[in-house]
Amino acid sequence: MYKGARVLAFLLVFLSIVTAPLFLNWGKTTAAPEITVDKQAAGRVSGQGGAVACVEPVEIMSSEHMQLLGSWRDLVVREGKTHYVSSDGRMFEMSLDDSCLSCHSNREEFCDSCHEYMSVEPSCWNCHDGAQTIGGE
Amino acid sequence: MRELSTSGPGDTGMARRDFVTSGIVILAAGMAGLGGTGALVGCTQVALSDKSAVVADEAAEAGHWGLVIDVAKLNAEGNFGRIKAACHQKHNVPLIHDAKTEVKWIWAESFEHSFIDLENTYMNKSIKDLEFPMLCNHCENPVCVRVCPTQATFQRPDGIVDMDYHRCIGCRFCMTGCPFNARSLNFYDPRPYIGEVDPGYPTRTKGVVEKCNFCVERLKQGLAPYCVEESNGSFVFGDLDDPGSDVRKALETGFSIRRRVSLGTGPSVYYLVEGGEPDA
Amino acid sequence: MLEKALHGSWRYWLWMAFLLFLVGVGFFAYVRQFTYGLGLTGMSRDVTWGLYISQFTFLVGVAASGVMVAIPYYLHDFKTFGKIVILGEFLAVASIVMAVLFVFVDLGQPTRVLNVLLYPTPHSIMFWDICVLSGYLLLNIVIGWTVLGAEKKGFAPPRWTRVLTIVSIPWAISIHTVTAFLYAGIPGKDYWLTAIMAARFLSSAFASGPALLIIICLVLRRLSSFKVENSAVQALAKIVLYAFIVNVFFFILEVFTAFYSGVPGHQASLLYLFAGLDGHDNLVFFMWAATVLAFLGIVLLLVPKLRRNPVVLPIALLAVFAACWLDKGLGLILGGFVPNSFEGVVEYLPSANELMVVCGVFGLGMLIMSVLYKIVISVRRAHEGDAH
Repeated sequence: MYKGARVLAFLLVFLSIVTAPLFLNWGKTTAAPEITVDKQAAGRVSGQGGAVACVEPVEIMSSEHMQLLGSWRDLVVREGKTHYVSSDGRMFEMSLDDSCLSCHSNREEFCDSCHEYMSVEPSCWNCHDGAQTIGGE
Repeated sequence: MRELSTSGPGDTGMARRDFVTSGIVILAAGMAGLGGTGALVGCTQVALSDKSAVVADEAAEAGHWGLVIDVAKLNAEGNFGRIKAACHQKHNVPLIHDAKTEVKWIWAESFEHSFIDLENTYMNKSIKDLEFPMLCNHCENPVCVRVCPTQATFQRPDGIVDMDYHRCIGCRFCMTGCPFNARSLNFYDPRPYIGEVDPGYPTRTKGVVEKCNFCVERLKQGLAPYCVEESNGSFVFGDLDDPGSDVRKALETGFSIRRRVSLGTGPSVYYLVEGGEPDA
Repeated sequence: MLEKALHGSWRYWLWMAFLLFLVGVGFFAYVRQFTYGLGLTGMSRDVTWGLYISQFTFLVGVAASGVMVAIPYYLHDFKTFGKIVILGEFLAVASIVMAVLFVFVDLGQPTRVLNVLLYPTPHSIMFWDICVLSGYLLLNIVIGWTVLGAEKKGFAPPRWTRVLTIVSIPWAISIHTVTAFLYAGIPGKDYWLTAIMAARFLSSAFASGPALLIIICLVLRRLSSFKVENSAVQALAKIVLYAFIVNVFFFILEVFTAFYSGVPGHQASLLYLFAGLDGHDNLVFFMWAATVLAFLGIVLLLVPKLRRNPVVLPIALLAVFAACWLDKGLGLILGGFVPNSFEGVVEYLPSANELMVVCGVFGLGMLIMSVLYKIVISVRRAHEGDAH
């Protein structure tokens, strides 16, 4: 093999760099965070004692809230629509700040813990939910 | 179309109202938008109803929104500072004390600076000394929209030139194209420069361009823009396409000018330099 | 073929190390800019584009100028350019990479850059510019690499490369025309709102690009086994001369229109550039330097005796290149922003960080060019070795 030893050596270096995150985190798997809903806030929004159901069923929201929010964003900003009719016929204002976060007012537990666990950094908070971010300063 | 109101409704929590049962006309089903997004990311289609998205009944509508500023009245009232403060505070415009990187939606300039092609060597001092509010002109043929490579800035059917901060890549072609210097880039994170964030409107992030939006978020609720509300009558807002509208009536009362008309962008902001109040 | 770039003299490696250092400096500075925002540059609300976009504009011209070698060689069978045509193509590759990188580092939200492709917008010239630039980059990589590969094996290049070369000629014209349209279609920027903007861009490019190419050839003649013939140098120098005379002529046309018509808007930017406006005169020195260099370059290239002098020729070419750079890579873009729409003058001075990013991009471009040229020279040397 043409310069076999050198090729193998660099292959090894390359592989160890690429797989480093895997080895560094070996055995450190943690349990997924428990998602908690701020019952008080949700109850406040519903206007009754009990919590109001979310816009769409929980399974759909947990797997596809980003698509829903993405489409809300375009509908509100670009098409000037204001309200969303859910699959069971209820009407919601399409607003991350005013609709979503009024129920899920516990952003740290509800949003951030899971995002952190999944290693995703949504840029939503750069502009929305200003109260929470600025309040910390 | 609803009349514009200048005071807030008692209850803006529209999410709690059942629009369907109160028999409100659903203006448009935005299925296209939702379907498109779903297809794009290749996910399983959310089981969304085909009614999906509507416009609230309160929303004010127009063929082409326009603003008339009675400059003499504004200067007599002397309340431009309040107007600017309301606009900037309500829209979380950062307060940056650096002329090169500041962000502004509305500000004042002298006649000779705002109407560079109309300035005369000898002219009436009372006009020369007036303060002219500068803001986005919401042009009929907006250069910014023409040059934007991502449609992050776009013209709505009602004439308003709006910004989609989510899509802006910060190339600043719109700023270069705008003949009115009405646009500002967030040269850095604006949040440290905002005194108290108003939760009614999102802040912006570094690297995106912003400007006056004719308060689209207020029009949605049937409310007039903040500047109009604060102006005590010197700012008149309405439908330029409607001969009976307040703006058209205001324009009947005297001589009005627009900035840099010869460039063909067709500003929707008119300055009434001579004339009285619409009712006078 | 890429492995040929891994063998070289200590001088070659020193040069590569220097370029890598520049890239490192630029990368470090860019990370800072990425984190903080464009506030780390000298740009402002009023001068919204600075050195990044002006370098982009200039480099698109350098890239397009490859046709000044390609047209005589491919369309008129001018064999003298046979040896350097590939150098023109690879210079185009490096220039386009730099041009595109300059646009990228100029973005306020670089992570969203793909929005340009995700939401194609035909009414935006920027969209077309990105389309023609990526096409041109691809064309030159494919043509250059295939032709060189064939040369290495001692075959004639496949026929389809000839088709691509013919396509690349109008394509080169298009990249610089579209780049000129970025400016020439903006109402309210009187310095740019001129019908001959694309013509000026092309004439300036056809002077500065080939001038740079000759300088590179002369450097390579000294430092490597690549020996460019004098006939090729002289033929290309004449192209530089005529293109540059046309370029200066076009500029004088602009000056005439502005000052004979007396329209203030058309005069303002020129006044700012050559005399200063309201006491702001950052660029006056550079513009007069460009003027002196321009006429020096023309005289030195115009007199045959001087043009053929091996000492004078590089000086003349450097003068032309510098004059083109000062005019297009500096004055044209910055001058267009003065005065602003309130007839105020806000000046632009690049920040240190911005200059570091600029160095980094140039470093990367020169690195790419050096690798490609190294391969060309190695392939040729191996070939000549076989022949003997």
